[in-house]
Amino acid sequence: MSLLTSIAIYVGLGFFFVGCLLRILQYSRTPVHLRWELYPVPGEGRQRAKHGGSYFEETDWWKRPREKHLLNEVSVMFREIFLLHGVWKSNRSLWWRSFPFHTGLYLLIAGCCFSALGALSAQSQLAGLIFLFARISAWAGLSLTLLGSAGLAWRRMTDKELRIYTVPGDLMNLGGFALACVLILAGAFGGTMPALRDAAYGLLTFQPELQLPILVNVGIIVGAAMTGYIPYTHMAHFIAKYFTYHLVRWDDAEKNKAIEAGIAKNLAYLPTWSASHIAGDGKRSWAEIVTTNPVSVERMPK
Amino acid sequence: MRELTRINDVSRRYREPLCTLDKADLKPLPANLDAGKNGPALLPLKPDVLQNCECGLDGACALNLARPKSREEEDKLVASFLSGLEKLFTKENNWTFLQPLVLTMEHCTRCQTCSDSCHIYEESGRKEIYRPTFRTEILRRLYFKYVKHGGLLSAWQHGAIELNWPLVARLAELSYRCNLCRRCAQVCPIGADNGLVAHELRKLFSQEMGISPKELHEKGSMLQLKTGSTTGMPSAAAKDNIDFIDEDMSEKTGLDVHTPWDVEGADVLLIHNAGEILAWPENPGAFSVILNAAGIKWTLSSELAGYDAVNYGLWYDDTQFARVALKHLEVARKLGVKKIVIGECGHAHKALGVIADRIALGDLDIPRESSMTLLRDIVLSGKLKLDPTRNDFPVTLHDPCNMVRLMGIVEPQREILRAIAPRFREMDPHGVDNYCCGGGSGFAIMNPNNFADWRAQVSGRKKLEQILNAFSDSLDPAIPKYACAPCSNCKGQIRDLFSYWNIWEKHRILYGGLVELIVNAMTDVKPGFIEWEWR
Repeated sequence: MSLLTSIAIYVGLGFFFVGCLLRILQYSRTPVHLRWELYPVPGEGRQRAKHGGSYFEETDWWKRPREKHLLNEVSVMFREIFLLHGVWKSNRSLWWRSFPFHTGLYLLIAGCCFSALGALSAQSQLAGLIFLFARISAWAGLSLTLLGSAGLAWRRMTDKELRIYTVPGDLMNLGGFALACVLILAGAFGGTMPALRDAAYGLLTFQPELQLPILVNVGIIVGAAMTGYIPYTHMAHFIAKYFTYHLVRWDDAEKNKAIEAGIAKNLAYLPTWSASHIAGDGKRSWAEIVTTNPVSVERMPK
Repeated sequence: MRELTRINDVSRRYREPLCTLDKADLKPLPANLDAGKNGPALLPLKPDVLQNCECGLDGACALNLARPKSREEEDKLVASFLSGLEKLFTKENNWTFLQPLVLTMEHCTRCQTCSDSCHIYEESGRKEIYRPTFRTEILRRLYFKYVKHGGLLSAWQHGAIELNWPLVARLAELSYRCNLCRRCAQVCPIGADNGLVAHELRKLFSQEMGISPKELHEKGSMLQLKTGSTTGMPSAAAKDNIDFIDEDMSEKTGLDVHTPWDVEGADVLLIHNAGEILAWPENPGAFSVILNAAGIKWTLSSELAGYDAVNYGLWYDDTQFARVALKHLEVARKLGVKKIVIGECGHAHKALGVIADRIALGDLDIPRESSMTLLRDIVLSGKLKLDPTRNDFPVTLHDPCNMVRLMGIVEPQREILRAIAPRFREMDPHGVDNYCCGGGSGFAIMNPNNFADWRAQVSGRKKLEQILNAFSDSLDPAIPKYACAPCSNCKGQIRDLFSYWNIWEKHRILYGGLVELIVNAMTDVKPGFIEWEWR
């Protein structure tokens, strides 16, 4: 059974990393778009970022060096990623469920990483400390993820306004996390768990003699399946957020050669929009269409 | 208990609206403005409109979308919509916003964090169809079904939807129930943008199906490309009107006011929203007074579109947007000016300053700047002799979304007001957290059927509440008050709001721009530039 669990872990991780790569490629291959920023932009100069201002507040801004406030941007990112600051500020009741869920996942990732690190450095003097971190992270992660996913699922099922927008897939996603946590916790408490050091080493190196409680095996397999499934769903927002924040919401970058080259390529596209004021026949480029005055080629409607 | 409209209700074939707006459902206004009011919030649509147009959304009708005469015609329109939907997600047709659109489609978690940030949803009494995610959810389900070609598994994962003509017709109207203020996007933890979705839907309808509000397209961007201005005012008429304004301003201020035209190599090309010339002539007049007094070498342009900063394409059509933006840049290039300064027009700020930035290539990349910064520098430089006590009345400031949340121009206008208006007070919230006036995204100029009612009762309600609250210590009509809105469309919406709710009569609140307050404080100018009369 543990051999199957080991295979599931690697397959799950494989799907996860391939999915993440595909997502990154999907978004990074979209063309350079028009600017669509939204203030406050935290990377703006120190004083301006406080009130949500931009370099447009300066007279002759193009003659001045751009003042960037990287520290503030990093601080905002940290608060958003680890504390879910946006949800805290704008949707407090959700935060009490979402924060434990996300923190639980972070801790689970940390627990897995510590376990793997400990297994690979079992002879090291630090191994004991590493496994201590691993145990704390894993137990806290399992508990918080279970608490958060159950809370989120409960809210989706009972809140009348949320229910309209809830599809079976949403409940399966949350249920999958909750199930994995329940199984592992139940198996670990109800069965005989080997030392974490042996379990981690055994799972990583496909040791057939490793004996894990069956519920733990099933729980890990469910967890691995969820891990592999995440990047193919809206839950891949940990990737999307890089693009939505840095390349849309906070992207007030001035033109550079790369942007200009991208736009030049875009202007050569041959649109096929059918409305009469565009009449995109797939033969005229964007540049040709937008430099044509439709009034001179079309009678004005009355 | 309130019945919630469900996503699939949008495909319902019967003709009754998905929801109706009753005064009792709407959020109460301060100062007992609508206390005890019951009955429909909107005037009923005329029988011929009900008979011939698609009005199955909420009892308002912005598009006058003709009802198809047969099922075949319906099918043809649905096919056209589907074709547009596919194009919306191709780089060849929609490189302009493809990335943010796809990100929004694929990653919204439907947590509804955005709902409470939407003034339309809140003030309507939380009508489900106005929830920012409602239209997005419809588009998302269509996207996964028809663009990503999802089957049963996808429907299970993303939700099912039935595409038919009633859905298309309702979605077209629904795309014009959002002010595109993007307050919802600001609070989204993921960075999804429901405002963008409304924008993209409008593009689909306009660019593929030729469906758009007459005020924005035929009498908007097309008229501008034909005559030079969305007002229909040709260049010669604009010049005549400005001559008249100069005369009037000279008389009113006691200064010799002269507006320069087509000065080659000027430091500043000022582009007004041409609506100001006709509706609020004191605004371009005040600009002339200030720029002349400050010794700026500036000019207006009489070229096609050069005297009208309006760019309605920003709200519904990328090609129309780009055509007008390129005209503006071309005008500046021909004149050889050092920079373009945009007058008091919020959407023109964003259109030319931000959205057009990446298509302003080569010698068309003329620097663009806000009039707010230029005016701030003039006021704080001491070039004008100013007496703030001339503005000794309560003043509050409306933040145009396009200029503030979407462009980050927050402080300059405040620095001016702090210098010239001793009784300036902020609205709550303000700055980048402001609320839209309710006229954003073209609504301020859209008045078909009962749409003006909808603007006054629903989309503008929050702004009215904010203004009244800002003046809560001085609502007595004996105290004149000034709501400063440095944006032409916002000003038009606030005018309509005040008129609808009798604010001038009840509370003596006037609306106007920022330059009028500056000139009113100039000691070289005859006192009383601001006339306390309703207009």
